[in-house]
Amino acid sequence: MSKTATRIKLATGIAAAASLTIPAAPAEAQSVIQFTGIVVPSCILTVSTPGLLGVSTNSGTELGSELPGGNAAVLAVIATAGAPTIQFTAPTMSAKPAGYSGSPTISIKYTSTGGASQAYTTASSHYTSSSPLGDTVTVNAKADDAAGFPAGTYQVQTTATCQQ
Amino acid sequence: MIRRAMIRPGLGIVAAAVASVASAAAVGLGPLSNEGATNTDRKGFYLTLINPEPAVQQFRLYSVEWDSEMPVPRVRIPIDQVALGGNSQGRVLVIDTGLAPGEVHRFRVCAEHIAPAQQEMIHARVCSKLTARRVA
Repeated sequence: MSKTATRIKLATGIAAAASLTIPAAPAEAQSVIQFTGIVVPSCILTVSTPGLLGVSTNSGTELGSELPGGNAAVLAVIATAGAPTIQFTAPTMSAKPAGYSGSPTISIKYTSTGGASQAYTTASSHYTSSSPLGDTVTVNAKADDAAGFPAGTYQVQTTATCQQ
Repeated sequence: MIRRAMIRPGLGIVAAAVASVASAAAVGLGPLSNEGATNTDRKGFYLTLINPEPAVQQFRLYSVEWDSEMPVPRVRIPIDQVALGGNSQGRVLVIDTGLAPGEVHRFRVCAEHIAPAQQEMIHARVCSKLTARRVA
């Protein structure tokens, strides 16, 4: 190795050392960027899937979301204030054709990822989710009438309330 | 009268959305409970109303008793019908009135989106439990 080459290498080494020992920028030149957010202790209910009622094909005496053509409703719960209580009112028939004057037995049942397991009931009901942040509730409904249901549009409804 | 006339077109839009969009029924409210003291016969609370949907929605707020669905007329909500833009939230003022000295008044304020009731299998609402106490 020639003297020139050695000198170059030494010079390079010094330059590298110098770059490592450059003092940090003065504190007064630094900027702190903060992001602030507030999580409101709240509950959000979203009916992500509306329910559909099918008709029993063998008897015609039942409408239900578990029958062919029916579909369960799905309720999403997001709670930032701890595990909330979800209350369901006794289900009612909120829409029916003018020609129908029967008195059906209306009931709902539901399960949830947060621990709810309610069998078909005609009464109001409630549960407290075991999941502190979110829950997904699958709700089924049915209406029974031994006299059957004439052609038309029917709707079964329950009110779901989130509260502590 | 003017207010109703202005809201009706909005209801029409919401009704159409419920029929055609699966996730149109949603509401959020917080805090789920709050309490406060006052020296006067009135106590105000602020609640946060949340529209989690991407589209504008109309909401209704109303007061009911702590453990029943009976309305509480002494609780005033100056703006009890609110239109919120998509994915937004807003503060709502609730005023409890007629507090007697030493009285503790518990009630609920519930929020729900305005839509024709017969178009929903699950009608969603959120209620906040509020406690107002007059100390003198």
